[in-house]
Amino acid sequence: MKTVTTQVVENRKISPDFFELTFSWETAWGVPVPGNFLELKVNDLTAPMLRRPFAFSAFDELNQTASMIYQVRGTSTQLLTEKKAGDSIKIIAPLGNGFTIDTDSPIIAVAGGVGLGPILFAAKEASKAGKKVTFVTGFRSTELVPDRSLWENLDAVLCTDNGSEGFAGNVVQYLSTLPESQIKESVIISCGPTPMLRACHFFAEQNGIDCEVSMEELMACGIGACMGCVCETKTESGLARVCKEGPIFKSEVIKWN
Amino acid sequence: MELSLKIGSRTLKNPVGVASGTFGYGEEYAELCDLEQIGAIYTKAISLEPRRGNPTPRIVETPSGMLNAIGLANVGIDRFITEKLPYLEDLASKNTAIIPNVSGTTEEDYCEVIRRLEGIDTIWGYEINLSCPNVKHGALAFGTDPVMVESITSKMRKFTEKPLIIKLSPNVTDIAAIAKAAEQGGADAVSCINTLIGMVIDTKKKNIVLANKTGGLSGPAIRPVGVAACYKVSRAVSIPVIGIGGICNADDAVQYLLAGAKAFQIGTQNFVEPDIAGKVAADLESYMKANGFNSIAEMNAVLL
Repeated sequence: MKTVTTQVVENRKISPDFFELTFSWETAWGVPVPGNFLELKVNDLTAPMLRRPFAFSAFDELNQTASMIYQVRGTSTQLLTEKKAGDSIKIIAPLGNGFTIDTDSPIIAVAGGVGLGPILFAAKEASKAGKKVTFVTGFRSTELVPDRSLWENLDAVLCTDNGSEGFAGNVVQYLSTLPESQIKESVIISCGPTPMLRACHFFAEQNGIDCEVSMEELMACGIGACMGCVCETKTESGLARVCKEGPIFKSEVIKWN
Repeated sequence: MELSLKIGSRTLKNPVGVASGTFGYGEEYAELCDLEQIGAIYTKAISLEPRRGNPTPRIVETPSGMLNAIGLANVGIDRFITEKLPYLEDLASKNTAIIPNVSGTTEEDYCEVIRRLEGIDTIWGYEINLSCPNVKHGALAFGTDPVMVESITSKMRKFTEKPLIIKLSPNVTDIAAIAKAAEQGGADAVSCINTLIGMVIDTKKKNIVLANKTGGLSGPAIRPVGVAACYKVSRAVSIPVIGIGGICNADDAVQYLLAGAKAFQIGTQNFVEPDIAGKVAADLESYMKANGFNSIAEMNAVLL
């Protein structure tokens, strides 16, 4: 974990409201693994004041760059779209834990919306390591689907809620169409909106397979100090810090309301 | 140049502190910050029993600030002693003051926490949280009534000769009256100020953002409130005043020292720049040199 001021390499629009930000990242600052996140300060002003958490979507060791995919949601992300190659950004990373991708079981990697970044990272790293990976990603409609070349080398399934491209339905509806034999031998990793994570959990539970989810909460410090980002768990304390014990949790640990 | 200062029976090596609730138990920041440069670490509030804290959302950003309603989530006194204090021993031996922020719901709770910590060398002194706005019983209720402040301070005083610092709430009619009550009860210093009560409403969802409904406002937005409170309180009491509220850099800290504070705490900015305390310590020295100040006392004496 390091606090660094680094430079933007590329800030590329990949859908109507998604961008892929690539920036210099040295191995010596800590090697990001899929699931890890960073805390980014977009400028030196007091508004927006806090850093914003984003998951890593790639780490290129050869070129010493890392990437993240972000959705334009508020002031910080709007300001971030204006960053150009060479501009400075302040980052604390790598933070949090990672997905379990070193597994003998085939991996079903499920991404909803902007959950795409860390799942893409995990799917690519696992494939590189020779694991069998099925990458499933879902969006509301074809207009919102980002640059499809992002997953061109993966065994990928694209879902749209309105059926305008790929599988018609959400990602969990797609999972239900997979042969039972394939499901039963697999594990699931997932990142996306909470209802999707909850559905992934119950799907995994019904099939008796492991599932990991990447949780999201409003964060201030990102390093386990402020206690702002807790989520409810079935552990003894009943709570876990998303930034420190997470953001990746076994889905069975989470208390799904 | 003299940066050290006396509070009660003890000395702080420099006026730079990190505020309770923004620095965990210190260890969380070890990888990102040179902890030895910090004069005092005020820990996350400690209560007799562990506290789970409030439901989420617990935080929300506001213009140049944030609201928090953590609800004093903490591990409780037993686990604080066994799990959190050992890491801080080494730091204490290097003269970074370890100051637990003590919280409770009854006078007995506060006294018992102090009694349990009293024999431990690592503990430099105590900051007493009489002013947390985010718990239903205790805390703020104590901190808004001068009679109760004096009573609880004098009771705690019997348990310790170490510095006793009362943290003041700005959510009162007359903060100087509360400070005087603390002094009367035997406090060695007051820290000034805790967060201001605030609320954010989501106009799209038409609901209140924080699960606790209200939270404590901190960050640069409250700095003028903190500076004014320090100015007023430091003229009402003769014990040291420790300034808190929206300090983001040495220049902000200088405002507090010129207003009459003997020391200060950096709070919310620790979330933004985890290594800010060390930077402020270095930049404060540069400011003092450039402006011909040899001590904090000289800075305190500028504004009449």
